[in-house]
Order: sequence, then structure tokens, then C-alpha cells
Amino acid sequence: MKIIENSKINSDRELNDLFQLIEKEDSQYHSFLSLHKNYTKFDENRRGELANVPIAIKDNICVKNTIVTAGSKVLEDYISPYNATIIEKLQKAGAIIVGKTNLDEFAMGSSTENSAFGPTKNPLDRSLISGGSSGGSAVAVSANFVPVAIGTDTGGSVRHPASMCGVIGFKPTYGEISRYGIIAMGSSLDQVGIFGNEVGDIERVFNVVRGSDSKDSTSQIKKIKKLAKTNSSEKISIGIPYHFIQKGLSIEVKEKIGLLVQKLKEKYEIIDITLPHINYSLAVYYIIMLVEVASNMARYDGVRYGKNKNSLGDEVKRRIILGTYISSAGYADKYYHRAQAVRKLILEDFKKAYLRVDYIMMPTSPVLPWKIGEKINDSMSMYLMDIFTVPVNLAGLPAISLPTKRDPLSVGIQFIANQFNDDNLLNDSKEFLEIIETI
Amino acid sequence: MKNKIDLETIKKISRLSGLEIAENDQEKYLKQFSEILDYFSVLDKIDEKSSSFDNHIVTKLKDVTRKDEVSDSLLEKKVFLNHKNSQDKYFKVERILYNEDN
Repeated sequence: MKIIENSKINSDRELNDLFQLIEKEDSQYHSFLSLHKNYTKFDENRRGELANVPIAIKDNICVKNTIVTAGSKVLEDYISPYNATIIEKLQKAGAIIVGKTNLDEFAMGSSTENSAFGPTKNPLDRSLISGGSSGGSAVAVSANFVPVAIGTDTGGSVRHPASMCGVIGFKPTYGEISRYGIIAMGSSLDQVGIFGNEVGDIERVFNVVRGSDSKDSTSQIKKIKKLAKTNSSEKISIGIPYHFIQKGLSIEVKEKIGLLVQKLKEKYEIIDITLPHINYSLAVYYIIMLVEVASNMARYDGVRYGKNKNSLGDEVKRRIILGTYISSAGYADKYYHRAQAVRKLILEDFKKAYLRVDYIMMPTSPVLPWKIGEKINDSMSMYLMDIFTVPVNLAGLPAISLPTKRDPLSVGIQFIANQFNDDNLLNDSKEFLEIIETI
Repeated sequence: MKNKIDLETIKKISRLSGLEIAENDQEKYLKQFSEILDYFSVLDKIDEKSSSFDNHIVTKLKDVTRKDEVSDSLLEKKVFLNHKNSQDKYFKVERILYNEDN
């Protein structure tokens, strides 16, 4: 298993070997869309926090003077004239960007099957989906090409593939990481996320890329050092919304959650909590996301760059049409404005819950990874897979998916903290992971 | 709320969005859209009226602006980097205006 400490590149030869390894092995998985062999090199003089650490980047993040496709024919020849803020930060810290990874087209999907360039396969079992939309980045870590990778998470697109591929996936509080240079999907929901095999590695990368940025007006920093203990005992308290997670879990996921709760009870206080409006999350998420997508996709007119929208795949076209419909006159009040009002209620439910508990726990996915092709023609069935991840994006909370043993039966367990409690969440996740790995 | 979307509406919205959808795809979309819109009707149960929000729901930020100062604009070569058809520093596009004769 690759971690930062055992993956640093120490010579030109080692970097070459890494590219050769990926070229040879990745044909089985198709996690990379492009390798940056000609744009990066080993440099022994690098001194930053991530000096000579190889990292993979989801291909909806702009790296200057290289192609960024967003997994779409629309941008297949598009050369970015600028770096995303996180790329500037990673390069300043000395990281080696190995290449760009596969994704569902414009980050829309939960399986990476919507990529215009073919799906990414799960290294745990290649007949299964890798999850999405950041499937390529999850696989780049799971297949042992790189120790850490960057993705984006709008409704679960980092946590979900992390769960499917047996790696750790972290999405910070909305606003912690700059969205400048991230190809926009749903602007009030999008956030950069990090994949890794060790929580400590994710912390290191997070501390390099986080920070307020004048180029992203929604970025902000409010570090909360110590967790305000919500109960009188010293134990960490974890809330589980049983009323919400009871239905729809597959037998395997249900079983693992049951075993885990028994073990967690030995060390922590487990509280059954209610989030009264959480059942509306999926509808609220899809309505808001569809409207924001329709707005963000308007720029692809094929004039200033790329091809026009007719080169888009079915799923993106579907979302643009629906988003345009539900935000149009006569429907905006019914759908969009109502969804925004309910979003506020969901956010307030979480705030109230965090007066009682330190963290909230849920499975990341209701089911184990499914077969490639199984859900591709059934949109609604695919959308339901996001049921446990979308509430987190609606409320802008930090969350992490921690894997049970890395095998085809791996289940991702999600821990969610209150806004700006990212450092506490990451710190305590080290303990949580130790317990999770034993079940 | 009735969630009826018909073929005519899909055609109209597609045109507004700048998308060309083939005839047989329109039928397929109709079925998928009806399913999705039916799912949204779960919100009918809740009687929350939207009020106008004057700040961002998630971040509570309001009126984030930059200073009103002139700064350098994008370099020309960057602006035209991805446009193959530029002519005399203009973007060349397809014809959009026609007179009665043509």
C-alpha cells in the first residue's frame, strides 16, 4: 500500500519507472486519461512539504498548458491557460503531478461510466464499477500507482468511489479549499477532496491546499482547534440517524454497520439521533444541482473554446434540460425556491444535532459496488446511490469515508463533523480507522 | 403539484439550452424525466415557503466583492489559445443574422 513516506521519487530513473509501471498496468483499469511525462520531472532541490511526492489529479482541475477534458469530447483538445489555485499550491510544495484521472463527464455520475473516454474499472474486481465521479483518482490510489490523489465532491464524488475502491476519501468543509480552476458543476456544492491510504497523508495534502483565496469568493477559513465537548463525559459521542439509514441497506452493509457499532460502543458514546428533514435531501440536492448545472454548462457554446454542447453525452444533456425546465418561469417556485428553503431546514437539523454529538456516522453507500453496465440505463436507480452522501454537501459539512479491509466486500464508513471541524475529524479518524479495520 | 412534462416542452427547452436532441432520444428522455420529477414530489409533503435569502445559505457570506481597481486583463494569446478561427483578434462564429433574401 503506497503512503507518502514510501512513495517519494528519488531520481529520474524512479520517475521513469513509475510512468512505465502506470503505462503497463493501467490498461486493466483505465484510471488515467493522460500522463504528464513531458510536463514534470524529478528535481533533487525541491524542499516543500510534498517534495517529489507523486500525485494524481482528477481531470476537471486545470493545470496550465496541459489538456483538461472534464471527461468530455467538448474539451478533449482544450489546453488550460492557467493553473487552479490548488495546483499552484501543490507545485509550490514540490509535488509531482503524474497525470490526470478519469471521471464521469463534467463530474456527473456515480460510476465513472459516463466518461466520454470509457469507464474506469475497480481494482478490487474489474467487473465492478469504481464508483464516481472521481473514479480515476480513487483507482490511482487503490491500484497502488500513487499514495494520494485529488478529486472533487459535489454529492459524494470523492467519498463514494473511495468506498467502492477500499481507500480513504475526505471532503472538507465547503469553502476550505479554493474552487478557482476547478471546472464548475454545482457551485454551492462543489468541493475538492483528497484520496489516500493513510489519514496522516490526507492531512498533509489538505494542509498544503487549504486556505482562503481571493479568486474564490466562497472560500473562507475558520479553524476550530479543539472540539467543544458536547457532553459531560470525556468520551467522543457519535450520533447515528437510524431512522434514515435503516431502509435500503444491502445485507453486507447492514451487517458491517452492526458489527462496527458494537465495537464503537466499547470506546465511544453512541447516540440514536433524528434529523427530521433528511429524507428530503436527495430531492433537494438534485433540484439545486440540476439548476446550478444548467447555469454552469451554458458557457460551452463552442465559441471561445471547445466544442458546443451537442458533443455532450446523454447524462449531461439530460441534466441541462431538466435544470433549465425546473428553473424556468412557472416552475422555479415549485422546485428551486422550495428546495432552497428545505436546504436551510436540513442545515439547521445538523446544527442542532451537533449540540448533542461530536460526529455523525452513516454508511457511505447503501450497497457494495455494482457490475459495470448494471445501472447505466436507469438514472433514478443511480441517483439513489448518493442518498447518504448528498446531505453533507447540502449543509457544507466536512466528511470522510473510511474503508473496512480492502477487498471486494469493502464497505466505506462515513463520519461527518460540524462545519470547520475538519482538523478534529481528521485527527479522530485515525482512531476510528483502527477500529473499522478490525471488523 | 402535477409533474407533467410533455414532448413539446422537452423540444422547447432543448432549443433554449442550445441542445439538439434526436427524435427517438426525446421519447427516452420523456420517460426518464417523468420518473425524476415524480421523485421530486416528495417535497409536496413539506409546507416550507421560500423566503428571499440575502446571504449564502451554507457560508452565510454576503456581498463578497473585490476592490474597484483596474488590473491587467488576460493576455491575447491566452484568450485565443483554444479558438482556431480567430481573425484580426476577433472570435469568428457562425452566421446568426439573415436578411429576407437569404
